[in-house]
Amino acid sequence: MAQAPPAWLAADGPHAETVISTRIRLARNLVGHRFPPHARSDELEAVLQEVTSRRDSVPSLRQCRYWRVDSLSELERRFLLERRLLPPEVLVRPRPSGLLASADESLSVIVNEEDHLRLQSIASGLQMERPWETLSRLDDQLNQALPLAFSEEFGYLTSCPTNTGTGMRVSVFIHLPGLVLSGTLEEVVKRLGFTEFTFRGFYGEGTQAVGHIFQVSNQVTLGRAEEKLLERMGKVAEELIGLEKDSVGKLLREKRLRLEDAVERAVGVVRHARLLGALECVNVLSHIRLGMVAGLLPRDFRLINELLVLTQPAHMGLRTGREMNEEEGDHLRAQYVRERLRAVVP
Amino acid sequence: MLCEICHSRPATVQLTQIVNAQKLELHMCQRCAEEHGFTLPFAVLPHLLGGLLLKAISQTHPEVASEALPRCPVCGHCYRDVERTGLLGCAECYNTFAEQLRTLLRRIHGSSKHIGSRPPHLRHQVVTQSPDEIRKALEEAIAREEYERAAELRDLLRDLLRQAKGSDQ
Repeated sequence: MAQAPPAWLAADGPHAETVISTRIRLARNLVGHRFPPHARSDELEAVLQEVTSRRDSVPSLRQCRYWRVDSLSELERRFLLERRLLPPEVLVRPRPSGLLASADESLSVIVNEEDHLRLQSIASGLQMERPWETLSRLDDQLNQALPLAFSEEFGYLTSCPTNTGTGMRVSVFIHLPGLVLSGTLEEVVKRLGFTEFTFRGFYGEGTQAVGHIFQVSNQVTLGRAEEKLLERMGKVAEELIGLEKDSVGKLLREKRLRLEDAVERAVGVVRHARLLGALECVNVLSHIRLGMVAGLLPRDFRLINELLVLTQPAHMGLRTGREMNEEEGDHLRAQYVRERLRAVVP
Repeated sequence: MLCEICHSRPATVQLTQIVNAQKLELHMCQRCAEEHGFTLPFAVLPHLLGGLLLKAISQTHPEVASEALPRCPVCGHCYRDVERTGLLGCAECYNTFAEQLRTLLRRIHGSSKHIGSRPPHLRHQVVTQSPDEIRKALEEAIAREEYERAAELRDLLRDLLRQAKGSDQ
């Protein structure tokens, strides 16, 4: 797995120019065990044992690789986090927990996170159908293999009441540099209102959104059918895609010099930087990606998506296979990005 | 402003989340942000709902003293534990605290009745939601000005009444 990028970065899904990936996850719990946040270690061990012993009767999981999360090194856990196979919580305090993932990482299951089972499917671009089919099939198989906690009234029972019912959270990772650069993102978000949805971004110093990548997910999990939730998420995402395209077009027409300046500065860093920090790298790659969207640079969305993950600290660390200090890591990252982007930024 | 995670270093970065046109922010120092995976472009960011959720929970049953409520027979949780952590102890808690949870779930989701998929072995059973229950949910949705939701419920009610009429004949 170490250096082969996951399938969801391939940029071969619908709207891959703007949407990097669609992720759906289902939260499920076993009957007769306390939920993981309140369970003792021996109870968590029992859950792990119950799930792994039934694995062969779950066809979707037969081809999956299994990791015992709490026996992995911190670097390995961080690596799996960078690939979105583990949640950030495992970095802090790993408890008896497991991870199952298919070879292309489109399907995975975490055992003993906030819930006993977290089923996840990720696909490239904006697409709900394929990952939903994959997860539904797995969900049916798990329901037949293990006693899952379900109530007629409340639906699937979860540790946190924000997941009760369908246990489904769909998240779209969307690249919105045009809206950020044109200064209209805040207004757009306000206008869309995001009732029943959340819109999340991470902002660095100077309130710059890191990598211009935002996450939109559903807020409501109860009282709606899954198909309905997915359909509405699709609509919200399509609206954002349209607005982003308009804003890039408008930048090209009205503020071309500013747009070119932003992209060319990133090109300069790729060509000449000798030390490139992880956070700066994400921002540089985002601007190169914007250059591709705007037609200012040759297009290779797959390459740029992959670099966003492969240049993360644990990926760099595992590639060299040795401990590096920060400066060594930044030096290696600058070299790696320059070499990989040679066809785009000669 | 100090980092809201370590409470010692100055906060320089932030996670922003907009829910129902309400902005929630978590201010952190760069180190805590990196340690918690917030700086990764594709990390699944946690929902900043903790505070809101706990607020919703504390408003669920202000008139009932938590001590008077029963303990879950399986995990030993009382409703005060749920209020404190925002989490339930086990599946049986949903039975033990059903009454409080109905109010809480309606506050979070606008509904307390599951409509989505069911385990394969239960699918042949008819979903037991009465027209009255739906009518009540419809009125609530209108009161909250959730018109899209109200339209869904109106359609559901119409289908159900049509089915009932069909089976009478």
